[in-house]
Amino acid sequence: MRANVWSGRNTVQVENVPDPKILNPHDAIVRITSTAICGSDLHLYDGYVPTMEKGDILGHEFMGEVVDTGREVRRLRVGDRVVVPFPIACGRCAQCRRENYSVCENSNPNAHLAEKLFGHATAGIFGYSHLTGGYAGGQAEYARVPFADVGPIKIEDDLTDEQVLFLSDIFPTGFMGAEFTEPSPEKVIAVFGAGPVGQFAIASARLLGAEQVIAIDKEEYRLRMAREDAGAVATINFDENPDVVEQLKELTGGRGPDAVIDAVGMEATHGHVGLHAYDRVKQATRTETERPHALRDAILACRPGGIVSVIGVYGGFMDKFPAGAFMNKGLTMRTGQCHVQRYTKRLYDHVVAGDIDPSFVVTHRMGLDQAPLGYETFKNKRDGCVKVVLKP
Amino acid sequence: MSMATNISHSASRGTAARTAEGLGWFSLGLGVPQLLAPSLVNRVAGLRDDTRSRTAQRIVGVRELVAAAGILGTPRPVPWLWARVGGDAMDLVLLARAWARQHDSTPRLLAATASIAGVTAIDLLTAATMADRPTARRSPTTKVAAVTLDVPMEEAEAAWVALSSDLDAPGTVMFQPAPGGAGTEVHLRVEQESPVVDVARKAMGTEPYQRATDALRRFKQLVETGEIARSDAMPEGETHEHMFPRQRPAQPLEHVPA
Repeated sequence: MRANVWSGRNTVQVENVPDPKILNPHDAIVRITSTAICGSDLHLYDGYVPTMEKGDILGHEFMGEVVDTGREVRRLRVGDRVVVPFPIACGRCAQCRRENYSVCENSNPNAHLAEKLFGHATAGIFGYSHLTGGYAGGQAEYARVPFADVGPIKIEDDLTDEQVLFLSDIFPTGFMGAEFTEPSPEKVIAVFGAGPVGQFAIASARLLGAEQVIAIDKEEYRLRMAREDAGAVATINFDENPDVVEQLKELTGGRGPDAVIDAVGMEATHGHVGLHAYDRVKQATRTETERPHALRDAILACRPGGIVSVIGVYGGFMDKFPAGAFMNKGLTMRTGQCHVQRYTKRLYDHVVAGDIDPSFVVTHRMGLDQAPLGYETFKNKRDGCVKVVLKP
Repeated sequence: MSMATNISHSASRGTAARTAEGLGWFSLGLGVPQLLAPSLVNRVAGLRDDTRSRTAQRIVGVRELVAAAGILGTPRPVPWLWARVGGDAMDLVLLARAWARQHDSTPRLLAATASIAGVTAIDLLTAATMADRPTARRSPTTKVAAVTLDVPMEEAEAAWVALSSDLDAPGTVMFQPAPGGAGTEVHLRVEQESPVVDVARKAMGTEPYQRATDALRRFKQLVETGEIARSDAMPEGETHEHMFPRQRPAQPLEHVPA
């Protein structure tokens, strides 16, 4: 089959590789009809995530049709149309029973590697380095899906791929980030990052009852999408004025937002020049793994006693974390890789009911063979790019 | 609330035993350059570098390596620790001669002499302290790996017996209920052997503690999910042997393993 593989820093290649096979009785094989490139894929592309091997198939946002099932699979049948969540969860361990699917205790056959970096292993993830198990990803024609009865959600309504594809990752991720902030109509929520996850965080906060949601980014076209499609009531372009903390105070009568959402993560674009240079140099020389400008600003901006919701991805250790601000202002941080399976049914119901059409983030569509162009377009925000969907 | 999964370990050894082991590694670390790069060692110690002094370094290097082998590789290191003391006396004589005659660098020679004098003191103390113990054996290290299963204790114990040949677990197993009553903690106690053997085994992924953690993870997966987690990079499931140094790429296999 054709698959998009990692072939070194800043390169991906579409190659011929063997078709996936059933390895375990709870597996299913899915023929992929649509798949997307995620912002966190860019951390792999840019070479910031360790344990990648050349030839690793990328991609963790995918959907399609079931073409084969293992002998213990009960819920799915050949022919079912499914969206596959990105964390691989057994459904049976203590964490899965608590609905903490992204920290499933049984699905990572490289648990020891992850333990070395994190202290404990977390769940297996499709196409996201050997730290998360070394599972082949979904930017391909077919994928093997373990624990097929636990993860995949059946699509039985008349909806296009683009309307449901994002149930795999970015819609639940934005939703979890918004849920962490306990939204309500009078609360002001500031969302750092107006990429696809930020857009869904804004839209989800609105779904959950918030009315005062502010989007922060430096791309005007993304801020416009945040206002017009996602429901942000105001936006801040920090390219025009880098002092985000000050601007947020102005918008909130000096109080600061009640909650902040970091939908940016480890490759933040730019903050104050000096600190940016520090992080940039350290990251380039691999003496720091993160560029945490957004998180620093979020902590400084949040009003005392507020909530810091972190759904941007981080990988290692960061310098200059504002511990003093965090502690003395009595902030609460809630974070995690999204426990997608916790939200898929509920969010699917929202889509069916017409409360939200997730396809609003899609700006580019291309064939799987154009994946390298897709990555470059997405990474460099060319041509008004927000989200790229690939069709195998 | 039952505790989350953990693989944990604990280790215990006496102070004298640990110091003795450290001295063994010190001998190893010194002996190799003395044997293979005697000029370098002469220069660092501030000694005159000629054929005679290089030969002396090589002889001393062999002596250090023999002492290292004795301390690290045998169950009774005490005689070898006294051999180190004898070697230290020899070194001090050689250094005294260097002071009396010509040497290349006074500060370095001073540093070298101070170091040897210090090490002599440690060697004497360690050899004397360890000889006081009746058995004078280095105690083996014990490590415990643990995992928590979300099943009642009877089920865990029965499964352990049924799966024993699949698991191939080293060491002694112990079961106890997890707090909250819903789960079972499974502890595997393994004995480490000599540190040199363990370092070699660790590099190959077959050291007892590594095998214990592999076995416990397999056990938990089999009991809770009925299968072993397999990925494209690790199609045989998690074993330390296959984890390092490189893994196959995360792509489907051409053929499914048996």
